[in-house]
Amino acid sequence: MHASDTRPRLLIAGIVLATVLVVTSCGGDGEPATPAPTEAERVVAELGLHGSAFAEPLAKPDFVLTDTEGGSFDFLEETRGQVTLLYFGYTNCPDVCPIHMANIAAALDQMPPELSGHVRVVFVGVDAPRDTPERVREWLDFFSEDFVGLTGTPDELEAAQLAAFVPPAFVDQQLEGGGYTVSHAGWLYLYTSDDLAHLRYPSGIRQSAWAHDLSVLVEDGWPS
Amino acid sequence: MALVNVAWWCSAQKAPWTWAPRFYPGVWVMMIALLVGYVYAIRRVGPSKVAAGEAVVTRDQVLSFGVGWVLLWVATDWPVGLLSAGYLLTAHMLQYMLYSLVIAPLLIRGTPYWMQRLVLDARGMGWARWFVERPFSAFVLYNVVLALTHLPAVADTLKPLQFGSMFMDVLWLVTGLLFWLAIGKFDREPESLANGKRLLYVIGITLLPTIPGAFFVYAEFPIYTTFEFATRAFPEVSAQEDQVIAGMLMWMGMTPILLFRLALAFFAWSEVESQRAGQV
Repeated sequence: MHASDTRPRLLIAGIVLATVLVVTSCGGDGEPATPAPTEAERVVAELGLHGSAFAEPLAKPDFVLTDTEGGSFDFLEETRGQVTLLYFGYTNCPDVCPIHMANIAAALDQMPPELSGHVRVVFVGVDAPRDTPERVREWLDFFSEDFVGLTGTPDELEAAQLAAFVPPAFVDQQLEGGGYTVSHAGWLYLYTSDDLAHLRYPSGIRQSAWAHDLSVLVEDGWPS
Repeated sequence: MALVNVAWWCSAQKAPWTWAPRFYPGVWVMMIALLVGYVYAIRRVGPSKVAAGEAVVTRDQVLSFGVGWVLLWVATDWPVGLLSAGYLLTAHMLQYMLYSLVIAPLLIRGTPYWMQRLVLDARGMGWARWFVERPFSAFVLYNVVLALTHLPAVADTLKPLQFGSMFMDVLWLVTGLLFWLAIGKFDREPESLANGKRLLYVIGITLLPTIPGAFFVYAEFPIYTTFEFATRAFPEVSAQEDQVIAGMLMWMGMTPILLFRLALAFFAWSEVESQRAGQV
């Protein structure tokens, strides 16, 4: 047998072996390589939602902070049974916070009022020295007068963030000219009418996606 | 290696917008090269290209080129270039219209015929000659580039890249130049015919952008992620409002240009008719 005759056979054998290896490596002992989607992930896929699903939903946190009128705001009580977006940011934020707020406000504007009227947006200003109630109100009004603004003492704010399973914000970088930036969670929690957060939304969610998800979750709720 | 990290051309950035001036070396190099090339051609090359006693360049041509050159710099450099690249769709639209409808014809008008030939007859410019000799193809190319570069997938991919952003800028300018050069071809035809044809093409390029303009005005949500997630250069103008203004600009911004061309065509026609009447 000539060497040239053996080459195609070796090539075929190689391809077969490689295919077998690839197939078996995917299957293992008959177990799928990727875990089955959780119930929440299945719902997200089914409803075409854009948030990231939690394997286990998070309970709505129980905290009391100061609203922009100077009164106390019991987050759990005031938003009970309502679709609620909770965001911890700061009013001097140069990028993520204003973009989140602007896009949510724009999405709500595009939704039918009978749906958008059922969405509460709660912004917590985590930069205690600068996020005064007046400043938070002024900043939020820029996006929507309906957005709820909260703030508090550093201890209250830290407690609220921990209650919401959010890493507490901290002063990140001193800027030339006296200012500073704050490192904070860049995502929002979306609590459905069952008062659970099944989803969280990172930055980069488009207005059309917000409008879709909020409409679906207000109209149909989270499937039980 | 450090040069790789230098922002040499305006591109979409994630950084918040500031009004602090920025220096883009690529833009400066292009602008200086264009000017030096023009002056060199007039001083050194031109005298051998024109007949004795004939002007190398006219005052009007220098003025046209100068205005086109200044506008090109304004449209490409900070702040218009940077706003257009990633912060304000209206600025993008303004830049596009300046490149293709104002700067390109000004530069062509400011370039003496011998200089146009010098560029077009250069080696490797066969493709450009092909388009210049075929006005309809240049017209199609112009509109295909307009459509393709305004597809969200294309614009959102190219704008954050410096090469991508520069590619778009250069593409608009080049297709604009080819278009205006191509319709200038009719200069060699009888004047009445030339104006009629030229006008049809100008109407074509002013009317077609109203289609994407309508998408901008009537879209429910922002079309481009680049501008949707940009920090607002003008906080009072939302991404959606910016998009509507840009769409309106595409609709109405073209009107003065069209009216200007119509007026030019009318006066040219009127002059031809007067001459004919005089001859009779």
